[in-house]
Amino acid sequence: MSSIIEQIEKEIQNLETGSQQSNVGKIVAIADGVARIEGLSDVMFNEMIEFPGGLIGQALNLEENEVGCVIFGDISKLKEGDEVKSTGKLFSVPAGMELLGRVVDALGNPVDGKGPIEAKEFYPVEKIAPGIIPRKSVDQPVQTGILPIDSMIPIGRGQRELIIGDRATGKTTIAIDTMINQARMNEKGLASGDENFRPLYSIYVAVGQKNANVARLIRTLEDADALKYTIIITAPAADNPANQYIAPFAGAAMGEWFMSNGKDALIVYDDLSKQAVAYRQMSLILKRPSGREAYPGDVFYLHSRLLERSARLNEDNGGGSLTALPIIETQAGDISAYIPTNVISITDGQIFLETDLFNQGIRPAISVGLSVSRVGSSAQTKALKKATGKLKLELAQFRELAAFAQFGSDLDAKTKAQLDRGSRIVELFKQPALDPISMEVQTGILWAVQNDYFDDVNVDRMLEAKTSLQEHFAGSGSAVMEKIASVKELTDEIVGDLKTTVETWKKTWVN
Amino acid sequence: MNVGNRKLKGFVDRLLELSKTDGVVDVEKVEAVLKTLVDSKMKSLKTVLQLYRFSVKKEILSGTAKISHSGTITEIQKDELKATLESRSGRPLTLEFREDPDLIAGVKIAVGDYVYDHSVRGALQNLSQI
Repeated sequence: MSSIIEQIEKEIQNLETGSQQSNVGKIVAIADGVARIEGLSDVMFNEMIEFPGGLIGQALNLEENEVGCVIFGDISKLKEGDEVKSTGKLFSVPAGMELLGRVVDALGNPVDGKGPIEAKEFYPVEKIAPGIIPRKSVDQPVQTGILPIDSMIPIGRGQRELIIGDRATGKTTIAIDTMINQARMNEKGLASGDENFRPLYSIYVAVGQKNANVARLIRTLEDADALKYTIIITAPAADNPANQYIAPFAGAAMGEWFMSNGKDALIVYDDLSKQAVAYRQMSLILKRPSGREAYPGDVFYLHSRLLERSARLNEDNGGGSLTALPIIETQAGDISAYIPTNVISITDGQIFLETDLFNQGIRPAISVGLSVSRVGSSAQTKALKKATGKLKLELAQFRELAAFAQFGSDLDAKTKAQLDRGSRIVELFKQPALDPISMEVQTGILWAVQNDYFDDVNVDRMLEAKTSLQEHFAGSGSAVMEKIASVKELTDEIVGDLKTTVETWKKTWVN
Repeated sequence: MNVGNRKLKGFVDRLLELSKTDGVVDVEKVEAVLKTLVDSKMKSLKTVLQLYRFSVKKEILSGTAKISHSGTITEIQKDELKATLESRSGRPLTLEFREDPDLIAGVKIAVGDYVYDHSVRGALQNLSQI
């Protein structure tokens, strides 16, 4: 017996305990979330730095004599002379299905009081976007549930579609509606047991927002039962600029996990103008040279490298996708300012919201002329594409004619018909918030408009008529709706059924 | 660093070489260099002095190994340690020993901004982070 013990003891003695080698530095100056550090001669660009008290930072400026570093979190306890340590690692955040239904900060720590997150994987926040080989063109739709968007500015999985507009024009509402619609579709699709159904998970990144707004958004998603398909990352206005700068990247890392695991995800960056402002503050404190509007020279790269990470991967690479809906707030409708033009040029189209339209009661206040989707039409469902027809053109012509019609009273019959049709479409596109419409119902409504079933409905009762038709589709018209949802095309048979259904409804409608 | 500063950096590097005897910074030589610099009344004296100060400080720090240990270290161990550290860093080193019971057991060696922690406290700190 004793010989066994001796043998074990011998083994223990033979064990070599390795020493910890680290590269350290000392804080020489610290202010406004940025530390200047002496030492750290081996540090790499973007490397994670360990500060006392469990704080972490990121090395952003590598200079000959010192290292400029941003610190995530509360720096009030740090002081000059504190020792810091390089980690040899890139900054990573937890990723995976475990994060769904949770609210986390920019570093991936839970802030919703629902306990720790048991994430099995970590993903680096800064990662090079997928190259050319693993990508494929956008060919599957993201149904926002918003009639004017799905019909005229369709979005595909893997696309980057910018939502741009002044403050309080309904930018966030479009994003919330989209997330709620995904939750509804996921619920329905997963319940149907369809093996080909691909759920779309949502990630919402709140940058520089009021905490009250984020709380309201969480409650809205909870009420709509959409939170369980959503991850919320929040870097509120009270957070330091470093957190606000990194939050969208943390969200992108979480989204990339879905994409690289063959799943589909949608990420909303709300909003990138506040991230740019936080980055400007950081850069100025780091004494980087400033350019236009005092933004640093690499502010374009900041957004381009972030949005490039949204992609649609081909089947050989799992076929996952990451769709991005970045939001930009303009000042007085000026889309030619620095950050708006940058992000417009990076993205695959934009949804432009106008204050004037919003105040006229046209909500969502989408400006049809300035909004565009560059790649989405190839992803649009065939049924919806057919039902939409030339709606965008008709609406654009209406806007032009409406401006002219203000001056003259004598209009020829054709112009009058165009104006009538236009004003009806405008009314039809009004949609209350948090009330997304499914693809099949959208198809049904648009088909009815294109086939003149709404022509004798009073313009001021269009919304009422639309609601009534929607109810009819949900009731006795449900069979044809299900057909459209499964076939996703307007075949002759479906058109026949649709015609019968709409005509039945029309008989019940009294002007 | 702009072009002018880069030129100055080269100049300061040469000054640093002049301040060494057998690869170690020599106080007398530094004093001589300083006196010559101040007497020269050169145009960018302040920048040169700042760069010189930084270089000398860095040189002294990376030429010194600060060794904290728990328990006693024999002279033979000290010699072995000096030989190992010097062969690792490829330069002569001055060793400063300090007893630190907080380490519980083992040694912690700091050469410039590199730290080699082979102590029980370090191992425990590491464990607590997992």
